[in-house]
Amino acid sequence: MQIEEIHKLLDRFYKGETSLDEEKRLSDFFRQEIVPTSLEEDSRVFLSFYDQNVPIPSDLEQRISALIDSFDDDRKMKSEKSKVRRLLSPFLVVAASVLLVFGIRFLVQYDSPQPVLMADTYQNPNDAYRATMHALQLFSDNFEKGMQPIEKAAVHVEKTQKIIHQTIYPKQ
Amino acid sequence: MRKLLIALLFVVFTANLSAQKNPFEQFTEMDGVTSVYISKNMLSLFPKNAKNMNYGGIDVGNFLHKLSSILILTTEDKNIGKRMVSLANNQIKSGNYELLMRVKSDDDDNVNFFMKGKPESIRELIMIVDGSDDESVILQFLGDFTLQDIQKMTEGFSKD
Repeated sequence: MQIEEIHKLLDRFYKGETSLDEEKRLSDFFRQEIVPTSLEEDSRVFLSFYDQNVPIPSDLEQRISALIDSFDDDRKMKSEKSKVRRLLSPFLVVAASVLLVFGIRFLVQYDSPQPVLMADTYQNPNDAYRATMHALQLFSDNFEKGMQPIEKAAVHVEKTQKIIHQTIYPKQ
Repeated sequence: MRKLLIALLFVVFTANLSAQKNPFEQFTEMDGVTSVYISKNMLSLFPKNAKNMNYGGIDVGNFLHKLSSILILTTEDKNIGKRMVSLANNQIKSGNYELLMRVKSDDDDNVNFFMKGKPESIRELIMIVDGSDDESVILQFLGDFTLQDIQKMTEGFSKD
């Protein structure tokens, strides 16, 4: 096979334009003939693609499945963690809300002055008594002012009812 | 979760409300307002069934012993009185009070009675006298009494 042809085929091979047949020819060439030094580099690259005798480690399958298993384990651990988190989270949320609310309440109470019990104005029960009676009198005066018209009205209503009653059921 | 949070907030803030002081206490600090506060302890020191507790044949002590406090706020200053009454009316509006009676007397005094609770169990009774020219008064009774107790008491005083 002409070296030039090989060069052409290689060019096309690198461009990805070779057919399977042409690739077979290239592979045959690199395998069987003594490769000229100018093509040594290409030979190594080409053969690395087509060499069927790449040793496969005997435990490859085992290693792959072990790797896959380890992925699975990882995921399991993660899901277990998230399960724990899912179980924990409601309590965490509640605890956080309680803390927050009581915190706010504490702040509100802290801000507003503590309710002070109103102090008695009088230390002497007699004075207090007099003031109370005065207040009750004032209250009653005003209350009665409101009640009097009602009572008067009630008297009128009663009178009117009597008249109506007498008119409807005259004494025989 | 949200419901729980809302419930919690509700509990906490209503607890806060219940811990609040008498809404009319602020008036005791007002300049030009004379305030008189009589506590339950002081009320209990009043002579029970004494002769002078009897007004118009009615034992007023009975009513007094159902009270937990009396607050009396008075002012003779026209402007202060106006301010006090309008502040009190705001308090009434926001405080869920019920108007019991409104009296407009001949001398142009407006008197409003407000209550909190039910007629058979009044927790708070307030009288606001809006004296246009003279004294303005706020009277607050706290306790647990009935409308009938009040009626009896006022009858006694008006007969006296």
